[in-house]
Amino acid sequence: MQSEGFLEVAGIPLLLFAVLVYYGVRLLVMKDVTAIRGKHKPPVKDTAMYVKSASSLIFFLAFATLVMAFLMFINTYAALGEFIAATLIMGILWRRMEQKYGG
Amino acid sequence: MAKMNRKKINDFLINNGVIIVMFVLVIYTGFTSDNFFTSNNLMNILMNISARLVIALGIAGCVITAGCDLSAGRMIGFGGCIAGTLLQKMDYSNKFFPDMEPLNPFIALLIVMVICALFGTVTGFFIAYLSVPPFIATLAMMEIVYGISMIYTKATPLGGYVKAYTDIGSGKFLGINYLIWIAVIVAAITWFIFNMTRHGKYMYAIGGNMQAAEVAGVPVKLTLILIYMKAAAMYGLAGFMLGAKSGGASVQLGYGYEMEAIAACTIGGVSVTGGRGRVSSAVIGVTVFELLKVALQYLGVDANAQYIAIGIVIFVAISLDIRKYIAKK
Repeated sequence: MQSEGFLEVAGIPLLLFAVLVYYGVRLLVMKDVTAIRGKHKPPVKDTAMYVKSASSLIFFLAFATLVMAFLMFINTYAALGEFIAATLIMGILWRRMEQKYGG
Repeated sequence: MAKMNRKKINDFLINNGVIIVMFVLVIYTGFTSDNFFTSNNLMNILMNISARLVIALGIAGCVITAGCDLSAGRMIGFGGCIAGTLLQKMDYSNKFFPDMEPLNPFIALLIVMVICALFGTVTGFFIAYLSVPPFIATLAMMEIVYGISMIYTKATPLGGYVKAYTDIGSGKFLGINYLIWIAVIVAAITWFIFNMTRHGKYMYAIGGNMQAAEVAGVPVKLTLILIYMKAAAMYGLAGFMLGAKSGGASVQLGYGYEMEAIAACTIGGVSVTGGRGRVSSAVIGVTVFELLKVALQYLGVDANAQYIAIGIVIFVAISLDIRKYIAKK
């Protein structure tokens, strides 16, 4: 498959992967929770744990997008199912993390 | 006094610098190109603006609450594809649903908007109830909608639309294209929602300070869901409009439009830090942005170089917006 065709199918998931990895690394390295939470939310209870948990979840979603990108070439249904499941899991875990370490 | 006036002028020039520079560029293009200031070109520009304005008005609501919606482009493609599959001619050889009679375009539009709104509701739920940051929730939704579009259309481009549908893209009322009328009506409705309803006031309150809004009794979660739902319905409408205009659609329809819309909102004065922005901001932003693109084409700027120019404009506009925010603080 030519690179153009590859990007047409997997370009969006790969782009999303890159964006998520960027934010995950930024959170982990700079510990800048406002990059994720915005400026108007109250400060977090435990910055270190928040950073650790949030970046883990972002990396989890990034990994899910990478898996989706490869699954797109095998079975689109499987790719979509995998990503919806990952998003749901991430959403629920994010909520728990916010309740535990968020403001 | 003179010092204050000079400061005011300086602030005005800095805050509206992008618009002024683009305005000058447009005037220059108009005087150096033969066909720029013609009614045909004006109508073309207005038609291009119409769908983009609908998208920008949807995104403006999200941006005012200090959020964003990166799923817009994919939602437009999805909306365009749904409309396309429901409005193909019976005798079209590649008809998506061979045995189904084409629907009335207005019913198809309603279906498109409702389906897109459902996806917007899910995005809003993730943001409001699960506290997922808007950019992550909307990126995830962008991916999900993309996957659904691929499955739904089997990645096949659509065409062969019924005349009643393509007429929406080419027909006129009082000499003005239907698409422009649709954009005007949507802008008027959005103005009413932003300025005359409680929902609009809640929206600005959330963007200004979410915590304070919550304490003041604003139903933050419900308002956020409604904003993302309304925005998604608008993307569906934009997809429908673009499909009618081009006479075809594919999952790639609307690709990158979300970035253009966010940029247009910022240029016009919708603050990415939340709490500020009007319908007129979106109108100005989209118009200026579209004029810039057309002016660059008329000036014979290389297609790839146009991306660089547009990127620089976005960069400068957002930098100036952040400057305004810092100065206000």
